[in-house]
Amino acid sequence: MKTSRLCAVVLTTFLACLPLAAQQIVDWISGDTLPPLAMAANPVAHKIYVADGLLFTGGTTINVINEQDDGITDVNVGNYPIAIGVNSATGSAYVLNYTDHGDRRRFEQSAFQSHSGDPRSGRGGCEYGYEQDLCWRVSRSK
Amino acid sequence: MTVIHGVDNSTASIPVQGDKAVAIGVNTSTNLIYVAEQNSQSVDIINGATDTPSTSIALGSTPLAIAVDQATNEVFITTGSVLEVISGQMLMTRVSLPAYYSEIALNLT
Repeated sequence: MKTSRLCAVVLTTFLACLPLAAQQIVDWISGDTLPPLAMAANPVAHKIYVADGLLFTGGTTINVINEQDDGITDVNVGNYPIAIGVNSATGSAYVLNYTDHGDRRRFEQSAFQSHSGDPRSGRGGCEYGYEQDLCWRVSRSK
Repeated sequence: MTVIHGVDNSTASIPVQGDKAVAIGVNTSTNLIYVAEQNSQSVDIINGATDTPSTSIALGSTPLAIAVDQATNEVFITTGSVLEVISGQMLMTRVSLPAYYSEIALNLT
């Protein structure tokens, strides 16, 4: 199983929903190596969805975490899952694929251009890819 | 767009009109899914009961974020300098914003 900081994102989000006095890290869950981009909880199916990262290799999967045992199942979705919405009326999760119509290559090329003149670039030792109104952080994984 | 069924993690594909979908909102009261797409500068509305597209609403500029108020059945979309308000499945209001806003959140209290 691949390991990453996915667990930190998951736990941080959940802990933010708890009363302050009750906030403590209760567990760590290993996930993918890609920086996760989006997550959502399904209160009907008791599952957590985490979208694989966007840059470098380009994610095409969603990590589905079972709340009962913290087990992870990878579910293949389209290119670049960027947002997740859960319909608690039906128990379905909806995953937006940034490039549903096949311009993955064009996005990759533009995403990796460094824009030193952009005010959002260069923070925290990271570079940013830039396309339209979106500024993507390029993580430097160790 | 991909839908993952909660029970068994099975998936299905839902065709959307444009490309570069960036934001999603769900109204569980009406069972409608709102998908903001940048290339087409529109919001696709999906029927959550059938997982099929219902209609598409042109915005006139690039959407960045969505928020849904289930109590009023209103959907708020920021395109940066404009706030679009959809009531149900109809574009109702277009409000110019005093600055550029790329995120949106509702205070329901």
